[in-house]
Amino acid sequence: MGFVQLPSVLKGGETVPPSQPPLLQVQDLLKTYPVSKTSLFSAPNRFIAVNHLDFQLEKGEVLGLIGESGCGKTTTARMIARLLTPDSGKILLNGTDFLPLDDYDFKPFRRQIQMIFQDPQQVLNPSLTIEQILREPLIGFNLYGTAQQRRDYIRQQLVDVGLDDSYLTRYSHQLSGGQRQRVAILSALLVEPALLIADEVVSALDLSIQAQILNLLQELRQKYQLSMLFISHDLHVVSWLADRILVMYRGSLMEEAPTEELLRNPIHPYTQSLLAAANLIEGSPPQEVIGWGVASAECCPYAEVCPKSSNLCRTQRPPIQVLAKGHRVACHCQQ
Amino acid sequence: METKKELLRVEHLSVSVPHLGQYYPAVQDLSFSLAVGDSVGLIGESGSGKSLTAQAIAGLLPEQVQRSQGHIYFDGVDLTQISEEALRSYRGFDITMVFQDSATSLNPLLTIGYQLREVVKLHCRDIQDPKAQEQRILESLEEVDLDNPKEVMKKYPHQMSGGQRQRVMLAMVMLPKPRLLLADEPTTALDLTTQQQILNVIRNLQQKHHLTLLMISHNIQVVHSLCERTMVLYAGEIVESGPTDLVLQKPLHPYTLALLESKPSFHRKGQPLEIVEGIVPPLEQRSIPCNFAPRCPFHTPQCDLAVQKHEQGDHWVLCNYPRS
Repeated sequence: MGFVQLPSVLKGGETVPPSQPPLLQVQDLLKTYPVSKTSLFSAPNRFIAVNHLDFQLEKGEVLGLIGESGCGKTTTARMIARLLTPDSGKILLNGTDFLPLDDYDFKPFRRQIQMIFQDPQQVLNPSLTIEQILREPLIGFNLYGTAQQRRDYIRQQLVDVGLDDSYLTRYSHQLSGGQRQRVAILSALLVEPALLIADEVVSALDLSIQAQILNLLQELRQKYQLSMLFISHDLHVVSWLADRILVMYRGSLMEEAPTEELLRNPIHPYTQSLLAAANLIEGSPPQEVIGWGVASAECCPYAEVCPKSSNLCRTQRPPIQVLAKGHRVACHCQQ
Repeated sequence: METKKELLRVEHLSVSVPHLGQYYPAVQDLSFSLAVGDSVGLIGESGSGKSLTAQAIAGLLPEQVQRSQGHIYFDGVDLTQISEEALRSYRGFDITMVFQDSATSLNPLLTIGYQLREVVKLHCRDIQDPKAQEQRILESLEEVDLDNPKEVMKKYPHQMSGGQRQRVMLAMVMLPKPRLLLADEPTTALDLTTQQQILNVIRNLQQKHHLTLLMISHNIQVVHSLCERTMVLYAGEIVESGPTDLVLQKPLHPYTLALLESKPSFHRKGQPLEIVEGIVPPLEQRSIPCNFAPRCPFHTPQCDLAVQKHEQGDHWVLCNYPRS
């Protein structure tokens, strides 16, 4: 499984930058959802799920996305996989913004970006055998022309995820949770994507199975130089796998840094309390926020519960500052 | 040494469940005891029989599940021998239970206050006065660190976060002033950050009310932060039991060792995680002396014949070749 060059058609109108662009660039991404009005005459409110998010991912890199449930991790992932349409912003893959493209022109990109989910049971069609499930993506993208070639390719790749031919004739309910996740991972990798999005893939698994799947992802990553956006709420898992970690809170970027830098030198009070909750540093875990309402664009999203918040935090949104060692942080404390 | 009074004793408990048209034991020959004020953790993976054990103690086993053998003594009374009616005077009074999913434990159509009042009316027979009942509810809500209890009582479950609902559940189970609390994965569905807060609440409640706690979890960290003693359950059997610090720092059973080593962390970055291949054996394949043998790296032919119990003080293990 190598990287597939984009068809030249797509590059037609675009100007390709001279130096190689990062694999994935997310620029100023915004997604809001309508929420019920407080009264009949009030203006419709919008819940900001992802608030002007900016980040990029280099080839061969694993970027960990971490945050509490409801902070917009999955929304971000779904927008990158084009399962959701953002309100505004750009998502560039190899320097090409695919958001304006229609579904037909997007198809080659669809193959480049594959996603795996938390619950493989819901991803695998219960009425198809594993072989039929694995054949679907190959047929959909018209890869490996003949049926025999497809069969050979699937058999050959099964070993990669630690399964063998005997599984091909089974149905998904005959497999254990770990085996199902292996099949789901394989079906994403069969089409040789440039970017793999893994959304809480090990959260539902038992510890010993979780370790098996994590080792598998690590092996595959080294073998194929996979680029991965790895989403999890478990800091231990993310810090084991990811090269860089991005911390999100209420749809906004709080802090981003290489894994080691983030763990040794967390700057944002929210990151510090997350690390404390995971027993990685001394301190107290973050406070629970009740009913995440419509976040104001005019303040720091963490200001309400931040132990260090000042008046400035409640009136002005902190800009993202770029520090040494690839460290980015959005906090007024850092000025 | 008999300083603590024994509250719960489980003797040779086996629970059989129907599977493929036959009954198979999902919990096998479980024996343990809890003294007053103890906090004991039961860890194991899914399918190891953790929840069945708790349900058996509370007398909440589903109808089709058979409790085949064993005795459960609570405060000297054998709960397996008394009538359903007599059992009801323990369940919800002396023994209460919290579950993983607070959203399904609370009725979505009723306010928190209504649901709490109902519990007080039915389960706190010592207080009849409505004012005193209200007072008990407010105290209970304050104990679980919920701000503004009066407002909380007016809310419906969907208006609260998962962490808050779990706090309400804890307040509710504490209303009858139970002596034994069975907590079945109470923090599993929560975020890591909220999880810590709920654990703190449970710890405070336990200390304040001298509560006996049986904590069921698959999360080693949860058990570590809360429990004095830990029992490791594998395929329906307790394979290792002892003081938490000993079990987690000097595990004797290869399975416990594997569980601890398979935990990803930053310190192990770049190194593959130690893994045990395979899965927990399905119910129909559990008639062998050691159920871990097929996955065990230290397995010898001796393990297929018999398995011995090794004891080191109050730390014991069911294995022929204990580690460390």
